[in-house]
Order: sequence, then structure tokens, then C-alpha cells
Amino acid sequence: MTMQRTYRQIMVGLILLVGISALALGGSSKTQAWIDVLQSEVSLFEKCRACQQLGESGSKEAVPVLASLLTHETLSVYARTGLERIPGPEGRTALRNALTQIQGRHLIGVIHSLATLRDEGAVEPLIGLTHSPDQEIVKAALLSLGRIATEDAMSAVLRALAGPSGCRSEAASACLLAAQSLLRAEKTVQACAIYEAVRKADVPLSFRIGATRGAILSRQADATSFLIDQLRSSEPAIRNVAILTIRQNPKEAFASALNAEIDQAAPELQAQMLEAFKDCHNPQSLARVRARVNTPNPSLRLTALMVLREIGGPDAAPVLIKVLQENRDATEVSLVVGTLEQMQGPDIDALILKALSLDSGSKVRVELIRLLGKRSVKNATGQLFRQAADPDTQVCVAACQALGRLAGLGELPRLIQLTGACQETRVRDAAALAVYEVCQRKPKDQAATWVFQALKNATATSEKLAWIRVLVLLGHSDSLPTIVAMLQDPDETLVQRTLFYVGQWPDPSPIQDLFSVVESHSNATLRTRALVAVLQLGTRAAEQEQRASETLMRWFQRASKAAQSTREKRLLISGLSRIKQGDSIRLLASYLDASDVKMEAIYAIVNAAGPVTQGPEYGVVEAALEKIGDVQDTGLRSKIAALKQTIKATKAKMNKANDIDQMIQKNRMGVLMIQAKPGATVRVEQIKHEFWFGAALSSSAFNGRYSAEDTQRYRETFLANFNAAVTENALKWHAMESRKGRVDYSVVDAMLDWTETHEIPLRGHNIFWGIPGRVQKWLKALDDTALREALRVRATTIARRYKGRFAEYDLNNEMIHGNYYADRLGPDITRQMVNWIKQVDPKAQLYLNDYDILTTNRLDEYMTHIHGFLQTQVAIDGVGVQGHLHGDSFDPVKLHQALDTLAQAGLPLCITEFNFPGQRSRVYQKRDIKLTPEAQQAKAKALVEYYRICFAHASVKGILMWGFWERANWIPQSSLFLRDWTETPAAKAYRDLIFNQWWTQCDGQADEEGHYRVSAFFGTHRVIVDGHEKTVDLRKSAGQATVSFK
Amino acid sequence: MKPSKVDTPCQTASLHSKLSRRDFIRRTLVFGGGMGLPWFVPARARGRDGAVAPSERITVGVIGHGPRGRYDLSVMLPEQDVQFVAVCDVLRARRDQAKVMVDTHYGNRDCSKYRDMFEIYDRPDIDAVLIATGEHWHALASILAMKAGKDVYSEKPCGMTMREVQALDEAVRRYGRVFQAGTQRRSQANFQYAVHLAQSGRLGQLHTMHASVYVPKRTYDWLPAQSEPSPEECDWDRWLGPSPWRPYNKQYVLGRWRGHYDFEGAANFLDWGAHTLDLCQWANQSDHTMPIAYEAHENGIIGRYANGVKLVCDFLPDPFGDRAPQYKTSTGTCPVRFVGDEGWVETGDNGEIVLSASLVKTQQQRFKKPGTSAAGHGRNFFDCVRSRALPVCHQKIMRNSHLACFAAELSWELGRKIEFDPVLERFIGDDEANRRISRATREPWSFNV
Repeated sequence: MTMQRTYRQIMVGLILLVGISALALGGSSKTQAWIDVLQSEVSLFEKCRACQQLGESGSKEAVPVLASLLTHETLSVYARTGLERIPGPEGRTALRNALTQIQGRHLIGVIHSLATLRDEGAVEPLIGLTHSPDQEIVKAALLSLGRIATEDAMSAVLRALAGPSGCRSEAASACLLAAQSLLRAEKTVQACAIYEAVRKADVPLSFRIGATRGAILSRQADATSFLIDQLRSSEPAIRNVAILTIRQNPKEAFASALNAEIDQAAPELQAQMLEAFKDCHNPQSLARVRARVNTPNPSLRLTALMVLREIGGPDAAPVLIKVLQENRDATEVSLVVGTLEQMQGPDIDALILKALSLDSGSKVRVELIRLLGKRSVKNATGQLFRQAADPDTQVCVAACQALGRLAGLGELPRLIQLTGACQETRVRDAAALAVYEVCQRKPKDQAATWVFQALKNATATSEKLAWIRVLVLLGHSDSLPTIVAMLQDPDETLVQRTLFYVGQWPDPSPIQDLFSVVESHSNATLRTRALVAVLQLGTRAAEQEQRASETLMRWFQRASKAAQSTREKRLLISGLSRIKQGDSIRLLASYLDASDVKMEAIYAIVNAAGPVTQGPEYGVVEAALEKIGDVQDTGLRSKIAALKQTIKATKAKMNKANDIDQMIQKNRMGVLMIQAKPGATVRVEQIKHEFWFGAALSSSAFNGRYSAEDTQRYRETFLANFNAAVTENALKWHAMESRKGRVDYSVVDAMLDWTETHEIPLRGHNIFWGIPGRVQKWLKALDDTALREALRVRATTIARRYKGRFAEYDLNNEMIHGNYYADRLGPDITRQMVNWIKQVDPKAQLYLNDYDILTTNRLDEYMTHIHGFLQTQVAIDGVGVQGHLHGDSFDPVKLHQALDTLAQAGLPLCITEFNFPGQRSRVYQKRDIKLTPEAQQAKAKALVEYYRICFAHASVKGILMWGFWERANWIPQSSLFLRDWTETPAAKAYRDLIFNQWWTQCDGQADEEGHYRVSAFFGTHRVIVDGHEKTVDLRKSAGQATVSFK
Repeated sequence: MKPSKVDTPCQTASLHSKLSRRDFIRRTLVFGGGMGLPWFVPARARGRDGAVAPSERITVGVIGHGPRGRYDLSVMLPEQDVQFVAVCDVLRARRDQAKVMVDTHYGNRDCSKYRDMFEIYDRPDIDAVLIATGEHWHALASILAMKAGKDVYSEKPCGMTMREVQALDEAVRRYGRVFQAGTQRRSQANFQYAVHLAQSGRLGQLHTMHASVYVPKRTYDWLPAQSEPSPEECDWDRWLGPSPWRPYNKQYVLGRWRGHYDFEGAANFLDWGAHTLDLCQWANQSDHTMPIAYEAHENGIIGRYANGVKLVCDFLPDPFGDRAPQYKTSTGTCPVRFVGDEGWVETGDNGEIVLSASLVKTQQQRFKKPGTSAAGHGRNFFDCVRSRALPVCHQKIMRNSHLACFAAELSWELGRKIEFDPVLERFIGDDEANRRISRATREPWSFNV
């Protein structure tokens, strides 16, 4: 036995080997190989696989062996798959032959396979099988005949339909199969006949449902009357299928049928028919829907309203307005209002207006008035003014609210008059707010002036207060002195309310006047009210950074002297919590001793401390936390723990920051060795840094847009302050070729000529910029092939024309934020871009460039991006990171972290586009805001800190500002020079760094051996020994340089 | 374009919402409540405070109570105008579990349990069925249900082959039934919004769509044979149904049928593809057709529509982990991205909408609920059972998106480009591909019903 098994295994292995080998040969050899498997003694699984393979790719040679498996218990289904799939008549012939050779369920399988093939040649034997004693065979044969659906086949099926009950259902099913094919082939008459037969047959309802649907679709002349008969059926299922057929196959005849029938239908069916109108309706249908809007049946009414909403159109408006006028329930009213609101057109507006003028009910008028407001019916103001004088308060309020939306500036005097005349508080408030809304429209100042005049003219306290409220909301600065003067009014009510409103002034302008009240008014209540207003203004100012922190702190310190009550202290603490500075923490800490507000003080300290713990004042927080001690609340405890962790990290970072000078010395200085006669006088003067301290060059300074004077001043200032440059816009493709084929090289050429003359390395920004909004329309209109070609031409043209001239290029700007080219052409396009360029200019230095990296927000993504290129050998030469995305301050810890992480890529780093303040500052896109002196100093300080961190880092090769002159800077406030070329503090600080602190200049004498050794910044130096002068380059790559005067 | 300042606080003291009327309409009609207003009058609007008389409830039977069936039942049971009256599963443990779930919900013991689905089909009191069997039964069980006069909610994928989904679509029409495919992401607000952006032109001219899918995998192997339990415990023969016979192994019935050729039609492609490719069909307004060319690459399959739009099915090596770099991992599973020449949008099951920088300021939306709930989808089905309207994922939509999935997977299987005629529903000049459109079914089961 063991020998036999071994022999069998060897044979199986050989056969499989043959099979696998034959696979490589393909075609009929494959077929034969799998046939051999089937005919061998292998496992059932292997035979199943062989069968599957034959089904997928076998040829007609497999038919006999597959046919032989038609009765196999397991393999029959695979065999039939194969016979169904193998092209040519052999498969179906084999199946057909099997009809007379096999029995039982295997025969059923063969019958169904013939149905799948729609084999007309099998009709005759199949008809024979409909007389089989085996009911299951009969059923299968009938279904198969239905699928094949020849005339003879259907005759047999229809006979069975009328025959004994045992197979009638299958006959019905077969009829539906056949009729569906006929209907699809547009043989509607034949299909209809079959459907009728099924409808009339004694078969389960589900078949009659299908037949009814088919009959509806296949009828021609009498379609409508037939459909109506189905809608009248006593069987809900028949009615349902009629509705379903109408909805899924909308046509004019069906809409007519619905129209004809809905009036007689029972309510439930009416609801379905109404719904059906959504998919199938004509103009007459809408009349039926509209009629049901007033039916006594609430469910039907609601359905009708919902249908009208979808299909009613403007013609439904009169009906809907009438519904509104009838005081229906809230659901219906809401639906109607929503529908009317959506409708377009002035006719609807006119209808609503007319209804308003005629209606007497206040509830209805309120709805109509609101509609006018929501629909922005500007010509309704006349009517609204009349309604605003109505005795009913609700109507007046609604009218005023609508007027707020609709009234124009020309109607403001009338609105002001209305407000002044109001006696009822709610109405006056609504009117005043309406005035405010109108004043919001331009020109704002004119409108506010009228309100101001109204205030001056007002006599009644209530009216004055209404105007004060509006003027406060508007923040009308001209009226502030008048408002503030009212704080001295003898009317206490007026003063109290004025204080309340002044506390809501949009900026802290009134704060000094409020302090006067706080500190000197005789009325204690008013002093308290004024203090509350002070604290409100101060808190808002802190939250919105409306004033410098020092100013805010002065106010809060002043207020703290007056804050006595718990409420006042709480307001003070709340305001201080928004000032994230050391002084604020100190003042808050003083409230840790007040038992009534201790917890508030703790929360405020924890809230404000975050940024403070990361700066030099972390010690203040540390002291405050020590005073707080242990707390019970677990959430608070974990926040305090987190603050302590941050303090710990800050201490470490601060220590590291003190190391910056050491790092600068280590990474930016080398040794200059001078050899001369012993005792010779030596002078070393630095001429130039190796590190790039650069700036962007504005195209306007090279295309004649600036005056000659400004152009000259611009260029001179650049040369005096920078040793590297980048094209701000000149090289961008959309700037060079906004229209296809028209390329303007002039500005780039001019910049290159100039920078080369002055030996300034120039960065080319950028060859591509794939952010979709930066891609020219003509590029987007190209198909993929043409687009790829356009990219190639761009790359090779730039590379060829400027070969060896640009120090480096930004290859495709901001790829992690958007890459239209990759979206269109696949991710490999970057490699192609690189290859195109390097094929023409092998020494071209190609950089990546992106933003929000040095904030660490997109750092991880950028690193993945960089590594992706490195790992796939895309020849990127450097990494550019923009320096725009901080705000009014930056996080040095994150900057350190970002640089350290980026350095892991092992490529040179360049800070390509620096601005301070940055793009997240409050001055971004607000060119009219000038920096205060304090802000200028803060800017200078931040610039110094930023440059120190970058200069100290070994991997950074340079920083370039994105503009240095206020007139040529996208964030003007970040410039070193104002429009008139005045130096800002930042310019002074910058020059002090670059040309003083980081500049080598020294005198000395050579020692006895004639050596003079100096630690110097990398760059170019002039060395003068006893009147003789030489120039030497001290490069970072070498670390040292020697110059000899011997 | 650089991003604008983030975290801008609202500073204006405004008395009225700044929402424009158009925005309000858009949000209310398109995104409010999933698909806008209900199709029928809500019960509460009839003044019954949510309670619906038993005689007016839609009665439903459940066929299949695996993990997905359990989930579907859990979100559909709360529907107050629906009554689940019967459950069926070939596994005794599961049908017992299903009955407990239903009875607990209703506080009675009225739910019937069956091993044989035909017992549900034969009940004239049952209006509709939820089909949540294994994939190889979806199409045939649905057709048999409709033949018996039931409306059908079928889980996806709705069929194993092109021929099956064609037969399913034809059966729905033949028997005049209501059919909903379980591609419930069409009823989710964040996906609806993303599609809206694509359709409305906010992205510019749509040119590329990305549908995330699993890396296709297929096995023909059989799991080791185990002793077959009694039919009452597990009716193995019925579990196999139309699929070819193979020896019993418990793991199949507990869910490890995925990836097996005989039980999963498109090499795992349709698991996500039925959703993500379907969403792309919708975004491209091509529910009536499908891509005409497909070509598989190492990292995915690229399809192309007749209107030039590209469909990229990205293979995700780690679909439940880090989906970078193709998609933002934070958007969750089943991400899709639609790209136009003025911007792009990406979203996934976490509900997050990610936009290109140019659109963030004007088009950003936040959706709180994640994009996987089938509750709204089920509600839509039941509404249509009453109204006889077409559900959101009706048979024709299902047919075309499934055909596209099968065609895409076939290009991977064959390892070459294939072209498809959406009208004839045949591969052009490609006998090898056309042979794979259908498979025979195990006797006595057949799609000729």
C-alpha cells in the first residue's frame, strides 16, 4: 500500500509539474494540462481548481471532459461554468445532449445553464421535459423556456400557466422573464399578451403584481384607462404596484391617470397618489394638489403641502398664502412659510404684500411680515412702516425687524423718527435695532451721524438710551464724547444704563472716562457699575488684543484697587486670565489669599499660564503654582502637572538658548591663520558672510515700475544689507507665461544680470507651482499628454536658458498643500520634472519649498514628503522652508524642534521666505494698521531671536526675507524700512547682528613665529599686513584657512 | 495660495445670522436630516406622538444575523412604524440571538425564528426583508424574496458577479418591488456634501476622483475540513446555497469566508469599493453609466469615463491604520477625494471634510456624526416602501456601481487594460474578460426565477 501511495504521489507530482510547465506554454497546452489533472487521481480540491481554470481560460478541447463531470456530486457546477463559458457551439451542444442523459438535480443544473446561454436549440427537448414526472424538472424547464422565450417556448409555458396548479407559479415566473425580454426589445404587443395571461391566471399575488406592472408599461392605446383600473383595484398590492410604476416610469399618460383618479380614491391612496405627483405630474396635477391643501383630512393636507413645496412652483403661492390666512396649525404654517420663502420672483412678493394689506389678523400679518423680510422684498418698506405703527405689539416688532433687513439709507430718517416715537419698550428696542442694521450698510458714517443727531435732539431718557445703544453697537467714535458726557447727568437711570452700554463699546476708548467715574463719583452704585464696565472693556480688549499687554495690565492694576465685592473681583480675575503674561500671573496670584475668589484665581492662573511657562517669565508661574499647592479637582491637578512639566522643559530650553552663542561659535566660525613676519601688524576685516542673509527681489525694481530714484535706492539698500537674493515673483510660470506661448524673460534676465554683476547668488522661485489656483487656465485646458509636454518644455527651457546662473531653484512650490500636476499626471511627475532639468543642467540645485513647517504644524507631513523622494532616489538637493506662518510672536521651542527634525533629512536647509510679524498676525492683510512703537520693538526682538536660532543651527545655510521695504512687501509691517526709507528698529537690530555681533574685525600682531590666528566667521575677509592686502575665503566646509604674507 | 489666518474669532456684533438665504436653503434641503424632508407624513404629524398602530406598520423579516445583520437590525428596530416579526439564520446560535434582540426591544416574545428563509418568504403578512447573509447569497436571496412579493433591503455587495447584479436589477423591475442597496454612505451628510461640491462646480471642472479600496486578494484554497454539525446547528448545505460545495469549516460561517473565490465575488474589492466607487459615480453624476476603460497598476486601478474624468481606486495597504500618503488618516475609513481644477475635497467615515486651501474659507463644513450609520438609509427604505418611490440607492444605481467595481477588479485579475461598453454591458473585443461575467450556480439554485 505504501508503495502504491508513493507511486500515486509521484504521478500526481509529475502531472502537476506538467501542468505548471504547460501554463507557461499557454493556449490549448494549458487546457490539456488541466484536463490531465481532471483525469488523474488527485484530490477533489485540485480537480475543482482544474475545473475553475478550464472555466476561465479553457478551450473547446475541454468540453468532453467537462461534460463527463455533469453528474459529479461536487464538480458539476464547475463543469457547467466551463461549458457555459467556453466559446463556440461545443459547450451548449454538450449541455443539450446531457438533457437526455442525466437525471435529478444535475439535470436541473443543465437546464438552467441552457437558460443562461439562451440556447434556442434546446427549446424542443426542454418542452419535452415539461412533461416529466419530476415536478422539479418541469419547473426548471419552464423557467428555462421563459428565459429563452422563443414562440414555441412561450406556447409551452402559457399552456403550463393554464394547466395544473403544481407548476403554475414557475410558469408565471417564466412568463414574466419572457415578457421582460420582449418589453426590452420593444415587442410590446407580445409582452402585453403574456402579462395579461399572468394577470388572469390563478397564481400567487406576487406574480400578478409583476404582471400588472408589465401590463401598464406595455399597453399602448388604453394605457390610461388600464392604469386607472389598477388604481381602483380592491387589492392594495395592485394599487401599490400601479403607484410604483407611475413613479418609476413617469409619462404624460400616467399623470393623466393620476389626475383622473385621485378625486375618487380613498384617503390612504390619495396620499400615495399625491406623493406620486412628485415624480409624475402635469399642469392639471397641480390643481389636484392645490385642492387638497384645504381638505378636512389633516394628514392629506400636510402631504399636499409637502408635494406643493417640491413641484408647486410660483403658481402655488396664492394657495399657500390663503393657507397662512386660515390660521392653520404650526406644522402647516411652518411648511407654508418655508415654501414661500424659497419661491423666486417678484410676483410672489406682490402677492404677499397684497395679502398683508388686506389681512386683519395679527398672527397672520406677523408671518407675512417675516416672509417679506426673509425674501428681502425691498419695496415692502412702505407697508412695513404702516404695520410698525399698528396697535398690536407683535406686529410692530415684526415690522421693525423686517425694516432692519430691508430699509435703505434713504428711509433711515423715517425709521429714526419711528423709534423716537415708540412708547412700548419692546417695539422701541426692535426699532432701535432696525436702525442699527440699516446703519451697517454703507456709507456707515452718514447713517451713524443721523443717529447721533437724534441722540442730541432726544429729550426723553428712554429715547436717549435707545440711541446710545445703537451708537455703541456701531462703535461711532464721534458720538463717544457726547455719550460719555451723559455719565455726568443727574438722571441716575440714564447714567446707569449708559454705563451699561458704554461697557459694550467695541474698543477700550471710553475706559479713561469710566475710570473717572470709578474713582471719583459720589454715587457708590454708579461707581460699581462703572467698574463693571471698565472690566468688560478691559476683558474684551485683552481677548481681542486691542491694546498692548502693558497697557492692559495698567488698567487691570488700576481696577484692582477699586474691586471690592466678590463679583467685581471675579470680573477682574476673568479679564486677567486672558492676559498671558507674567504681570497678569503676579496680580492673579495676589488673589490666592482671598477666600471668596481663590478658586477663580487658580483657574485663571492655570488658564493664563501656558504661554508664560514657555518664556523667560516662567518663574512667576512657578511661584504661583507653589502658592496654589495641592488641589482636589483631578482635571485641575493634571493641568497644573502639565504646566510644571512645561516649566521644566522651558528651563532646559532656556539653558539651551544660552547655548546658542556657543552653537554659533561652533557652527559659524572657523580659524583664520595668517603667516607674516614676526611682529607684523595684522588687520582682519570681514567683507562678506558665507551664510546667506538674503531677501526677495521685487520685480518692480527691475521692470521700470518704480521711479528711477526708488529703483536706485532699492538696489543700494539691498546691496548694503543682503548677500543673497531670491526672485519674488519674476520666475513664477504664471508671471512669465500667463498666455500660452508668450513668455516674458525680461525681468528674470534683468535680475540675473544685476545679481551676477554684484556677485549675489540668486535663488529661482519657482519653476513650478502646483497649487491649483496658481496654475494657468490654459494649462488646465490641456489634455494629459499636452500638459506633460508643456511641463517638459517649461523645465528644459528654464534649465537651458539659465544654465549655471541660478544658485538654486524651488522646483515645485508647496507640494504638500496642493499638486495639480501630480493630481493630473500621477505622483511620478516630480521625478520627471527633476530629470528634465538635470538632463539639461546637471548641476542645477533643486529644492523643495513649503510652509507651516517651522511652526511644526505640517512638519511630519513634510518629512514624509522629503523621505518619499529620498527613498525613491528623486534627486532633490535641498529643503526650503518658508517663515511666514507664525503670528505676532513665534515659538522658539517649535522652531528648534522643526530645524532639528528637518536636519535628519541630511540636506541643506534654507529659510526661504521670512516675515515678521507673520501671516497669522493681526496685521496680515490689514495694510492700514501701523505697528506701535512697542510692537516695533517686539518685532526687532523677535527677529533677532529667530535669526539667532537659525544661524546657530548647523544645517541651515541661509535666511531670506520676503521683502524688506514697506512698499514692496506683502506684509508691509514686517519690513525693515518704511516707505520713506526710514529704518525701523528691526533694521537696526538686523544690522547689529549681521555686521556687528556676527562680524569679524580685529587688529593684532604676528607672534614670534610670525603667526596670527583669529577665530573668524565663515565668509570672505580682507587681511592687511603691514600695508599689504590679501583676500581670503574661510569656508565652513574647510573649517579653516591660511593666508601667507611671507 | 497661502492659508488665511486661522482661529479668527467672530468679532462682529451682529443682530441677525449672516447665513444667506441660499445657504439656508442648501443646508436645510440637502443636508438637514440626511436627505431633506421625509417622503411621507411623519407619524407625529398625524398627531399620534410617534406611536403607530400595528396595522399601519411595515412588517419585516431578517435573513442573516452576523455582525452586519446585527448592526442593521440595531439601527432599524427603533423605527416606530416598522415591526420586525421574524428572523432567519442557518446558524442556530445566531437565530436565537436575533430573536432575543427583537423580543427584548418589543418587550414580548412574538418574533418567529426560522432556519429556512422560505418560511419568511411564504408569510403573506411580511412586507419586506433585510438581507444580511454572506455575500454569495445576497443576490439570489433578494430575488427570491421579491418573487415572493417582498420589498428588499440588501447589504452590499449585492452580488458576486456582473450577471448576478444584472439579474437582481431586472428582478426588481420584473416583480415591481422596492429595493435598497446597503451603500448607506449616500445617506450620510458629509459624503452628501462632498458630492454636492463636486456636482455644483465648486471644485471647478471635476477631473479626478479617488476611491479607497482594499488591496485585492483572493484565495481558492479550502480551509481544513471539519466534522459537519447537524443542520439544526448549522445548515451547511443551505449556507453554501448557490456556491459550489466544499467541506465544512466553522470559520467560514463565522465570517472567514472573505477572500475566498466561491464566496466573495471580486477579490475583496467590493468591500469598500461598493461604497467608495459608488460615491465617485454619484459625484461624477454618472449613476446611469460607468467608466469605459480600466487599467490596474501596482498601487491601484485607474478607470476612465467617457466624459474624460479619471477614477483612481487606490489600494490601501493599511486601510484601518495610516492611510497616508493617499488620504488623510484623520478622515477615517472609506475615504474618497474629488479633485477639480479649482480645488478638491476629501472625506471619510469620521465625518471630517478636508478641503484644498482655496476652498477652506468659503466651503468648510463640520459634521458631527460619523459617516457610517445606516439609520438614515434604512429610514429612506421604509419611507419608499410606503410611498413606492425609488430609494436613494435603488437597483439601477446599484447595478452600475457594482458593474464598475467588477470591471475594475477584473483589470487587476487579468493584469491588463480592459474596455467596457456600458450600454451593451460587455467588454469590448475581449472574450477572456467576457467569460468572467458570470458563473454557474450549484444545483438546484438558479437565477432563472
